[in-house]
Amino acid sequence: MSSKTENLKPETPKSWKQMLLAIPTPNTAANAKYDEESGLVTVTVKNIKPDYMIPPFSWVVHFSPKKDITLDKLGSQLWKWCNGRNTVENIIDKFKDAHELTFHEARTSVVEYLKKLIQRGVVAVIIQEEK
Amino acid sequence: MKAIAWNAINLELPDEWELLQFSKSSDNGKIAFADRYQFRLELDWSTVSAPPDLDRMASDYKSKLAEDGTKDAKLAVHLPWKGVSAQEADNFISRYVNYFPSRSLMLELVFLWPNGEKYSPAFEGKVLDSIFVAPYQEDSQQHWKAFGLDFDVKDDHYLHELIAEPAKTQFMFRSTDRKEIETIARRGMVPEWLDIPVDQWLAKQVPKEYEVTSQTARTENEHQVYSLVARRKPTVLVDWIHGVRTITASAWICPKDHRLYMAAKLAPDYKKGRKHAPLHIACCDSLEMTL
Repeated sequence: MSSKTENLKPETPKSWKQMLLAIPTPNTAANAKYDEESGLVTVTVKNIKPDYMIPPFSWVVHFSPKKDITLDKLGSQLWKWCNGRNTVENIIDKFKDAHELTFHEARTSVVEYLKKLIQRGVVAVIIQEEK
Repeated sequence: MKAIAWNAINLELPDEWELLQFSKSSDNGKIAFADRYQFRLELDWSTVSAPPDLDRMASDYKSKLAEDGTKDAKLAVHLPWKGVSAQEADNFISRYVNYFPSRSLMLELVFLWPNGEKYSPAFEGKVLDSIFVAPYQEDSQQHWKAFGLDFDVKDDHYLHELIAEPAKTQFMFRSTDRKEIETIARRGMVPEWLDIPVDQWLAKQVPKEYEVTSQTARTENEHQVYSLVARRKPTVLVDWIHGVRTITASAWICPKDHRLYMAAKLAPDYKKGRKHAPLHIACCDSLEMTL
């Protein structure tokens, strides 16, 4: 007999409970606009001016102080649930019910999408300690 | 409890446990299941040449745990399964081993009990009792039930490819002589990506070098099933030797889970002697398809 559980893929943690307890919240520095016609959300995020953006470099490379990110249908749906009250687990459950998925199908999709929103500065995450 | 069938190994697990990791190999591999918070069960299989000494394996492992500093490791027995249970890091872990001569398979089952959840030997016993390994029978069928799919393919066909992504599962089996391929797929979130009728979608799955020769539609227990036959055109030399390669496929959306199912069989159009192995697939209690 062997401890085969040690062979589980290293990138897959044995438990993801703490991640499920996290609360995604809109980035306060971002402005969101909901287009009722298309049902899509456009989020305007401030760009941080990089250190290298000084003359003479800045004379030839344009720096935009903000960028617009238009979320697709699923992203717009997720954005609405990232309201600072729902945990990641709540959002996964809502996504699961809306699209008739299993919990882990929804978890994979939601977590991947949230990672993108966090990287783009659209959403921030409040980490809660496991009780 | 729900039934799982994988590589001739059958077992029953709680409904909410999902299959998250798998191996394709029928000789050595594993599958692992998780509840919504963590992995709860791992099943490993390995082909062995002779029946192993299960008692010795269990006691050797108990000794190894003691050497590693694990206290209170105990032998756990649920006949014919032999095992060891102990508190390891964040989980209480039980390991059981058994041998199934019908396929010369040794199975190891690892239960992970998270802190805060009461250890239940009765539950472990229920799972262990549900396990059976289907014997190998030439010209028989192997049953698979996983990822929401429930199907039978010919026993000597092997799992060549498996795609398991959110809302997209696709099994591909091949015969050992590589002449026959079976594809079984289940897709979710259908309104998000399917923007053409199902029959057109099915026709689009046919490779370019094949020509669709017939398309049919029928309704069976509220399932609108679309089927097609396609033959390789132009034919190549191998088609003249073994018979023209022919695709038989069906697709439908199950009205119960609203997922799209597809079953396809690619095989030479055998002229005489050899028969196609049937492919059975069920999406729910109301529909079982045979290709």
